[in-house]
Amino acid sequence: MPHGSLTIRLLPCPVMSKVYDGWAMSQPAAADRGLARYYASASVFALGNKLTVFGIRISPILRRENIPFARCAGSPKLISYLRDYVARNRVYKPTGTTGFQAFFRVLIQQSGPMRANELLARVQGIWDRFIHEEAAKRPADTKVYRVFLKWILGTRRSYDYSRLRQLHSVPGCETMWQSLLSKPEDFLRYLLEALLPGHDASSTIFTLANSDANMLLAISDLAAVRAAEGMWRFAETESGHLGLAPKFTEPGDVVCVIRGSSHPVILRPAGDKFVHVGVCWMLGLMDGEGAESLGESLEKFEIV
Amino acid sequence: MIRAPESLSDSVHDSATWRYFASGTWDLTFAYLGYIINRFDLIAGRGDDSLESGWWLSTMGARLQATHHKDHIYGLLGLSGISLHPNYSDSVSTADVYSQYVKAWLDVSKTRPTPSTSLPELFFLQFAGICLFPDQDLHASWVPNYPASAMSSDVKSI
Repeated sequence: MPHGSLTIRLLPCPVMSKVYDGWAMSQPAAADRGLARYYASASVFALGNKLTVFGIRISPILRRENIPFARCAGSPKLISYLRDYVARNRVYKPTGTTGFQAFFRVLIQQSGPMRANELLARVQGIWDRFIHEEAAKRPADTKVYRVFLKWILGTRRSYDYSRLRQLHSVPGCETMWQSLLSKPEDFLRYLLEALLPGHDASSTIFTLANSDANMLLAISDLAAVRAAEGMWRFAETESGHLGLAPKFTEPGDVVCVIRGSSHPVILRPAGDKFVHVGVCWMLGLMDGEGAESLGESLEKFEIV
Repeated sequence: MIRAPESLSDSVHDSATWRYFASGTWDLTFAYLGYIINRFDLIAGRGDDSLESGWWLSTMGARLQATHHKDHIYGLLGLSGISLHPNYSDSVSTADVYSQYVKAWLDVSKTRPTPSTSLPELFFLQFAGICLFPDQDLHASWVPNYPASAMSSDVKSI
């Protein structure tokens, strides 16, 4: 096997089986199929600085973390939360994926269907980048990787970390990505198992190459996370949704899907009215799933 | 006066836009025009009317730095062509300008035979919210805060 390319066997698995028509404006096809009513104009601009919108309540916020996750993605704090989250949510109820996968989907803000190898590549890629950056700052922190594997993947298999550290100093082998590729068997297998437990990896062969394209993908994922680092925090709802909410979101604020908005919004009850807290990114609500629970009548929200 | 910020956004969503802004003032003029034309073509190709393109353009105000808070809207009127009239006097507050902006948009939005595929009716909520813009003095929580948005590189990332 040439260095820098890796062949693994993966089933082309649509990780999220269902593709929804949506409220999301990025899906014009939904409008073509007569679903335009979900988009239809229903907002009323009333006098008195009040915005009246119509939609549905999804669920109140249960907890909001305070981890500035991108800046210290390799930090024990984030890993601690990941571990805690996965322990509480083996399965991510809203979409049926694993909690582990849900966590990473939120991290890279990818809600749509992904094939197993793409998901694997991106999750691995982003972690490699993080660990690499951490390691560049504090070389001893490659131990984060060990913590990561041990806690999250539940494995006690040893990995040759001294080798990773050595590779950092070899010209042309600076990235953790490359060092991982030098011994991928263990890591990828465990990662895949955590992402897609029971996944039958025997029937199809995919090549996961250490290509520029893959590196770019990881970097662009990193950029997405970076951009989110300042204002956004992990938040969980009572309904079990996990996502990113504005930094100062409080428990009790309500995640709502409202007609005319491409993002779910968080509204804070204030008497019989609401205050707009901000938009949010919730896994399992980004592709119009909210439309599934649409009844005949929508709730009216008066936002002040 | 309105201009592109010196520091560029990391936002993936807007990377295409920012690439045009990245090249400095001179290039900006032509690149930006090219971008606008391209964008118009895209929207036209989808059958949306040019009015909507103007409104889409007006949202660029949330990405551009301006010397006056009202200029995030007023500074782009020449390009966007939306039906607002500049009023810099104290009788019209910044909050009023942004409220009028939303009102004008909703009036346009309501008359559209089919819903927009490029600009959600409530797009402005992305630029509003007390927790994304805790310092906002725009009266109501739903009023878009373009000045604050332009100052912050991360609020638009989702």
